Amino acid sequence: MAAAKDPKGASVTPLTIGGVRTLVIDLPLEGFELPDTLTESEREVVRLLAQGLSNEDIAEARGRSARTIANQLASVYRKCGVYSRTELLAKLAGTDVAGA
Amino acid sequence: MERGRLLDVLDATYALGADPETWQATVVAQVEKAFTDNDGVLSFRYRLDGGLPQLTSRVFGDPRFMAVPDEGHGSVDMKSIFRAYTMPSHAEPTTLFHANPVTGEPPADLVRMWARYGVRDMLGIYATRSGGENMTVGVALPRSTTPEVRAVDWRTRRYQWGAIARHLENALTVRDQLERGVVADFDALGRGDFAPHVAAERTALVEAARQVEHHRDEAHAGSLESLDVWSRLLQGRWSIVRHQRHGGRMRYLAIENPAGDTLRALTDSEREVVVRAAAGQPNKVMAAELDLHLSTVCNLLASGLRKLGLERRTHLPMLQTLLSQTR
Repeated sequence: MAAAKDPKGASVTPLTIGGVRTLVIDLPLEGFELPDTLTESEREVVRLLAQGLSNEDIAEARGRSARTIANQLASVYRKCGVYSRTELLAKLAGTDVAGA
Repeated sequence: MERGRLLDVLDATYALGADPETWQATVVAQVEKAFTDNDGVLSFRYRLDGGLPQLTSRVFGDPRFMAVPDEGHGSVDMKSIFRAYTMPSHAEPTTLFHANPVTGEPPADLVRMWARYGVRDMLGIYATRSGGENMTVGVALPRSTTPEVRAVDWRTRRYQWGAIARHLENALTVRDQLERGVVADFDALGRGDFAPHVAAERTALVEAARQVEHHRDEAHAGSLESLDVWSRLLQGRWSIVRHQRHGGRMRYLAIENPAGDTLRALTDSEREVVVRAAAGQPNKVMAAELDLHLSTVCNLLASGLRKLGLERRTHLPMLQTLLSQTR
């Protein structure tokens, strides 16, 4: 298998379609370092958030209302010490060092 | 050969029920499945116009459905199909035509013209309903445009034609095989199934298709080692053309832009803002640190994301980490 993989199960697979070079990029689902204080449903919400979903999308996937998701996320931010979803994702992805 | 994928889609077409919405949902599900099962090679990803499901299903649709009276989806989505297939005047490999509603044949003068210019076959045949009367519309593709045709401008979806033409060739091959060896019974509403005696043959075809290996580019894979995709995304050398959720995770499809194409390159300030957004910095903070107006930051970020092919900033952090690691 010629895919470049990282430990978290993400992958980047090169394919050529009609003479055009393409990459199929799969984002990781697991392996984020989260505080122990997070509840199981909060972790699940973070997993979905890491896929770049909106609150509405997450609500649909979880069978909860968007308001519930927002509340759970607010609690996640508090526990992780961040102020926004992008900041949380940057922290999970490890891109936050240089910036904020 | 992409026969496996094509048969997947053809199967969905054969499952046509009385309810167009159900049928459409089936096709969409099949397309998604084909996308998943085949590592994303089924490349009709142009949700840009919101035309994806219709586009795909009809490309591989069986021409025997062309005379099926179509109440629902045809008239609604024909515009997006046409937009996707209609080329700008400088290329014009397609011809839209009003076909004979009974036989589905194109007008005779068009056929004569195609004979002169070497049109290979019709790309697709669409039934629609316009002003109360049934009308069959087709798209033709000249031989000269297969299999590697390219349009001139990014905005005209330069890559679409190569892929469509290639899949089309395969679709036509499969269709020929099906028509030669397989008989299906349909009632007046287009409902029906394969006759029992051909079911085995179809199964064999599908099985043969499953065994076809997918095209994985080893040379390309080797070059990935030396490729910092994230930097190249920012430079406009690569673009993300599609993202979708499947199996609970997010999958992106990126393509390489031709050398010398600067349309998708981020400007220095767009780049600065995108990198800061990837680091989780809020727009307000960027505005203060870069001494820009807040609305300028918003605009820079929006244009940066658009060039990258992303919808929202939350895609950035994970992509940056993952794609920087492919270096």
